[in-house]
Amino acid sequence: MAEHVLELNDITMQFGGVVAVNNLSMYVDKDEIVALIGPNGAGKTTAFNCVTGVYRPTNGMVRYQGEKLVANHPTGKMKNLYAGENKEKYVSETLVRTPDKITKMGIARTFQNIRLFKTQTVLENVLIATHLHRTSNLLTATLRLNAAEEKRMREKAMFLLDQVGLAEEKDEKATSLPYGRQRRLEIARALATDPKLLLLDEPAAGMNPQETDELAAFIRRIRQDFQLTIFLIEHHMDLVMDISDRIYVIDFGRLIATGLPDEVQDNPDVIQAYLGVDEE
Amino acid sequence: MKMKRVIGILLIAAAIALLAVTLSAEGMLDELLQGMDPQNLAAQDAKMLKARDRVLDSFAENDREKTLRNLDKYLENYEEVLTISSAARMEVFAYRRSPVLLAAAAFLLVLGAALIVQSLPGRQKLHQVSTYAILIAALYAGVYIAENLAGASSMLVMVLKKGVIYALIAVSMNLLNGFTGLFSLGQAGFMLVGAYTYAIFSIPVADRAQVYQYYAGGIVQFQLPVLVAILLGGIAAAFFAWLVGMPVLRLKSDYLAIATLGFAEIIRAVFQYDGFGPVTNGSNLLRRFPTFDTVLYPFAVVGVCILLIVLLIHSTYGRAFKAIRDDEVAAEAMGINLFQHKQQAFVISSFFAGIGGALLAMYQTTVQASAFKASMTYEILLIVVIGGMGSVSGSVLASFLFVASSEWWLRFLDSPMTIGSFQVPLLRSGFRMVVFSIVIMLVVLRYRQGIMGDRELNLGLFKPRRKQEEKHG
Amino acid sequence: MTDFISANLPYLLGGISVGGQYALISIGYTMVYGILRLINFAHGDIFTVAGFFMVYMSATMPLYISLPLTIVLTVALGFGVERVAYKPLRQAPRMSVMISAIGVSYLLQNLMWYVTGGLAKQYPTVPFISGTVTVYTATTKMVTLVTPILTFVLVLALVQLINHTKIGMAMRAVSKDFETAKLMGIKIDRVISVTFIIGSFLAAVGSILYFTNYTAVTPTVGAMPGLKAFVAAVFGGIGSIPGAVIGAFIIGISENIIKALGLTTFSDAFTFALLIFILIFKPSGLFGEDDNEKV
Repeated sequence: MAEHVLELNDITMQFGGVVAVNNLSMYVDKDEIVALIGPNGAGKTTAFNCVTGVYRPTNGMVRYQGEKLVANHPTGKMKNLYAGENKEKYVSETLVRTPDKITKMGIARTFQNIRLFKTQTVLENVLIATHLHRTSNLLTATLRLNAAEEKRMREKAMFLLDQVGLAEEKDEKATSLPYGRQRRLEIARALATDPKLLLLDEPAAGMNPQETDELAAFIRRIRQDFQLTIFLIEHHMDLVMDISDRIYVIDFGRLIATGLPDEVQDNPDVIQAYLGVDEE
Repeated sequence: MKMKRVIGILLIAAAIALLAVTLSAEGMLDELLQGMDPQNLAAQDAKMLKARDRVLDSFAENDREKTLRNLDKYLENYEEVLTISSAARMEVFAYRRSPVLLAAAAFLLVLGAALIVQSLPGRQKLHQVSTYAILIAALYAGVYIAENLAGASSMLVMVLKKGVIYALIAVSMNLLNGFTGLFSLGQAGFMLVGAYTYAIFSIPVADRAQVYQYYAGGIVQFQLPVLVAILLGGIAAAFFAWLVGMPVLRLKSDYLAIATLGFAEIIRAVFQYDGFGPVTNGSNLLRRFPTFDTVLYPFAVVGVCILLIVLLIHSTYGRAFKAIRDDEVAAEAMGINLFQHKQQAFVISSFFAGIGGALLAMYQTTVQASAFKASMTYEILLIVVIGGMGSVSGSVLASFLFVASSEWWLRFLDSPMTIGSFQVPLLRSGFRMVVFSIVIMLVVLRYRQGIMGDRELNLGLFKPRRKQEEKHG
Repeated sequence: MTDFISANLPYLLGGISVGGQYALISIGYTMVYGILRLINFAHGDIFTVAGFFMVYMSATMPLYISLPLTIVLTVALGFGVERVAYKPLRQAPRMSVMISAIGVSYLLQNLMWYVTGGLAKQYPTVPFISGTVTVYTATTKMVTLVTPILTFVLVLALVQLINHTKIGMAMRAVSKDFETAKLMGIKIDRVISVTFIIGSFLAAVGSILYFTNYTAVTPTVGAMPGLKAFVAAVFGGIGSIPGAVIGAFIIGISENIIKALGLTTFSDAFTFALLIFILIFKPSGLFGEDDNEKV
């Protein structure tokens, strides 16, 4: 059996009494573009945060290229409070990784509410992400014995900026860029960590239709150029239907439908979930 | 370009001439005095002969100040009978001012060399380095000249010495608070560790019996070279930081402030504990360790330290620190190990605070644990704020400003003053500090950016490099 | 056994008493932190200033005026500091507000030094609580017994206020979620002012009790009890009032036990060792809650 790039098994995330993600299982295969959609507050970003190590899921396991990434089961106060399923299934396999370790394994992400390094320039934002694959240590870096590495980092950062069309603005403050370009910068920054799997958290939020079209082409292109697997959360139905190979739909933290874009579009449960929800 | 080269060569020539004059004056005092006395009057005037011998004796003893004093007396008392040519005048002047002239010559030498380097085509980076060399040479020569003109015990020199030491400590704190975004309040504690480590290992063995009189001479019975002891002070402070950081830096950043403040209090109590007396001398002073006699010494040590910090800040690690300051979540998502990098920044900052503490001990000539109170940390933090969080040059400027105002310029506020029959109100002991803290509060509330904000005094080292890249990119 | 008790009872009593005084100070820290996420470094100095208010006023006024006036002035000071030094920084980064607090602390200390000339002042005798009393075999000041009782009563009143009044509800709401509370129409500035008023009031009461016991007031004398009260707040779980009170008593009593063991130098260091210990093993303190940042 070919291994999935990313595999979520029975992921449940519960905050106090609120179950934000409920027993979610899904997978992403190599070279796919998979979308996770759902109404506001359905738990999409929470699911993302469980994969990237920002949250420790209350229960369940995540695998990455067959390797266990995160695994947990309800402990402490959650033992009694737990409202999900498969409570005892993962008891023997607690594994916690911090976000930086997960990034190092090849998963990079962007953020829903853009989180660039505010005081840094466009170039520096990307340079910071190249820090991950450094070979220098504190001493060699301080004494400038790593000139070759520094040069490589700068070249790589410039190459990536060129790819996303931001080379011109490299010396500007990151936050002075227009919104859409800030999103591109976030993608460039994520690419600088050399990911195999890229997680995009609402990449088209706040974009107009034309920008959204450009974004779709852009995402396809970087998948091609960087041989990426892409897993994204999105609100923009047009974008999702346009670029996704497969789609997962969740509502109230629970998986309600999955399949090809056309199948999902016609699914009555999905239509109901979205009914009355204000969509762009 | 050509012009620069010509000027450079001329400057070097001038420097060499100046050096020659100054150095020759050093050895020629004997001849010079003979030359001033054409008819050998001295032989008929025993008093005058004696006066001249006094000059030569003290000169032979190599006691500069005494020689100058005697020379003054000789020239003053016998001015009419002596023939003092303008050449002789110049030589006397050169002798009198030889440190200043040497410093000036050294500066001209650097300036000339730098100009020649800049006149050579290409090698952009070398040009920038030479610009910096000029500025640094000007600073050091200027400081040395100031010390010699104003006198080693003048207020100006005191302020320069203390200011430069505070500059290092403020920059070390800025590395943490301004560049990494960690709020630490342990600076005084780490300075204490540095100061004590330096003092304990550098007191001459012969003096230990007297310093440690209540502890039978103490148990450390060897002396390390000064620089080694200073370095050890930094390492000891770094070690304690590593220890404190281990548990605390994994937590929310607020806890670091509390834990470091607590650490500073513990360490102060521990160092004063009688049981450790054989090492720390308990609550008694440590003294008689080597100190520095020229202002150049702290300037040199601090210069190297700040240079290292600046290089670090502009390295890939420095960028990671700034990323953590800007957004911890995003930094972690970009693969930056938060704990590891925070620990690095904390340990390095403390290392330099320790070195600053050792230098402060040298400046004060004695050291006592009870002086390293939380208010010392507060003062340094306020310096950092005044200079601008995230600006090295701001911290340096603010340190000198702070020390100069509190030790010198605002001194008058502490003594009662009457203008005519009018007694100026409020002026008495302690008023200086009140005014001072009000000014600081104004800065904190009104001018939160401080002097420099997060910018640096930009002298063109980093801008041209960007231009260069544009050509390549 | 009797010997053991009579040898150690004074220390225990002293511990309970000083614990109560720390508790009164630490409530001010913990409430301000709970609401503003601000470590109010100036709180210990407000406590000291309260001591000087009493010293200077009792020199010219009878006790029944100077005592309430001390409390009123201290409350006014606490309120004023918040208005002048913290309120303008509401939108600023948190570090700026803490720096402002440090600046206030520095200013108050220098001001006290200026006014007093740096000399220690004798604290006035407050009748009744300055009197001596014999408990079992130990002779002690009345304040030793009054402190825990008064602390208990005040804390009880405060808990009632927080749990059963409108302003108390607002305070709880603000400490749970500052932004949402603001959106819900709670007058944030008023809540914050009340918090500072309560904190300063308790600090003033604590100051009267503390200095009746220790009698000498100097500009920096408040720094140490202030820090310890702060550690107590962290130990109990910062933001939690019962936590702060229990933490304060634990610190007060342990400190006196250490003194009884003859290790006086380490009684201060112990408090901070305790702090590092709790930060390692239960960073949220005895009664604190963990909070997660939303991403």
